[in-house]
Amino acid sequence: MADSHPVRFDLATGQVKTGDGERLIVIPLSALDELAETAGVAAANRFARGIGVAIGRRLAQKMGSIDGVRMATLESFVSGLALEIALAGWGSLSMERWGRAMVVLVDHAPVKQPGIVAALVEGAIEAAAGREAHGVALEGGGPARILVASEKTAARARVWTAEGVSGSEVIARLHSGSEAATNERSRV
Amino acid sequence: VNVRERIAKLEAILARVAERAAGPRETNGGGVAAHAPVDDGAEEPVISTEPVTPLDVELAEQTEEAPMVAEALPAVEVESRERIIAASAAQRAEDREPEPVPISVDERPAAARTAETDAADAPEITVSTVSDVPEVIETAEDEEPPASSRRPIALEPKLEELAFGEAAPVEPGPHTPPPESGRQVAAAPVDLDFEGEFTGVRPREPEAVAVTVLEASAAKEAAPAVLAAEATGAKLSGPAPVIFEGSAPVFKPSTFGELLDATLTL
Repeated sequence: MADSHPVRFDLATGQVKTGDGERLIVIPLSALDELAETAGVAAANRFARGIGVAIGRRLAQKMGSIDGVRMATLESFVSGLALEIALAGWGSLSMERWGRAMVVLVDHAPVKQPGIVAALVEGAIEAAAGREAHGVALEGGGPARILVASEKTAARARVWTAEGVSGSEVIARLHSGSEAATNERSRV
Repeated sequence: VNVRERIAKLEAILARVAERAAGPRETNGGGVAAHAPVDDGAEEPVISTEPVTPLDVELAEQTEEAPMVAEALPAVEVESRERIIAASAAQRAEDREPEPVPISVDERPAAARTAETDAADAPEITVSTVSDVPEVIETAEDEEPPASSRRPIALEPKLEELAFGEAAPVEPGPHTPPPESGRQVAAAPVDLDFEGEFTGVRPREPEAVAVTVLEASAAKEAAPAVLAAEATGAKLSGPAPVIFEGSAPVFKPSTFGELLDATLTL
């Protein structure tokens, strides 16, 4: 039977467990940073992505299923996801919609590298919705802005971001390219 | 001796002199000049025994003593000498200060008495010297005419007139060169009475500028030309060239699944 509390600290046995009985550990941020420095950015991203997948699964479990997540409103989905991110200590989450693009904002993130946060969000959405998604950290100050897109679109957005293109410009370019492709498809 | 007595004596002497002057003169034919006794021997004139003193008359260098006509005639010579003596005595009397004339009752020399009477009555006799040198009348230097006056015309004949006579071309009358310009003589500073207000250096008071209103056309001509674009817009009175039908599609996902599908299709 699932516990109503998302995290339970069993002091007698020295275990930290989720409401579903999954074990957790509490690690300091310095250990994550040292992992990123020693194992590399890819290993750190993979580590953060795993944390996000766990968060997404819990969210989907709370919402009943993957279809429940897909059919949920934006507000309910953002509220459930933000709760899971906050319980894990990864900051405050919100969402923006730029046209057809979905941008997840994470404020007060424990890590400085936005790519690690992007991997966390990527794993959470993929696990909650049951679809492959890729997160791209966009340029800009303040909270980390994570663009959720397909693999191909994410690759182009990373190139533009590496070139110094701003997040809004990247989104604008993606919309223009998609409209042209849509027009070509309609002609065919 | 009072004045009346002196005048009476002088009148008596004058009467005698007049008598002697009216009478004929006698000469002794070149002998020693002597006056012939007229009446009696008591009245015989005697030449003054006083030594003749030279006159203290300074003569100019270029002057000569007047020739004595009396030297040619012995008779006249005596007379002239007497006159000279008388003249000198008279001049001495004039030169001397007006002292009381010592007139004694005694007989005085006729010549002296004559001189005294001449000096008193007759017109003044002055010893004058005659100069051979033509008399030069000194005149005051001609003052230079002021600069504004007309210049004097030169009177020298021109060379053309001397050479050709009347056939010489007529030219306007020559004029002497104009006076040289020089420094203006400043007025004496004593005569000047400057006051602080009239020294010429004083602050200028702002003058009231008269504002004249020009006409609009004149103002436009005077004002610098400023280029400004005058836009003329077209007035479309006909129907609009395009017609908007419907509304632009607005993506507003209602579920998370729709938004996820849209963002993954970018």
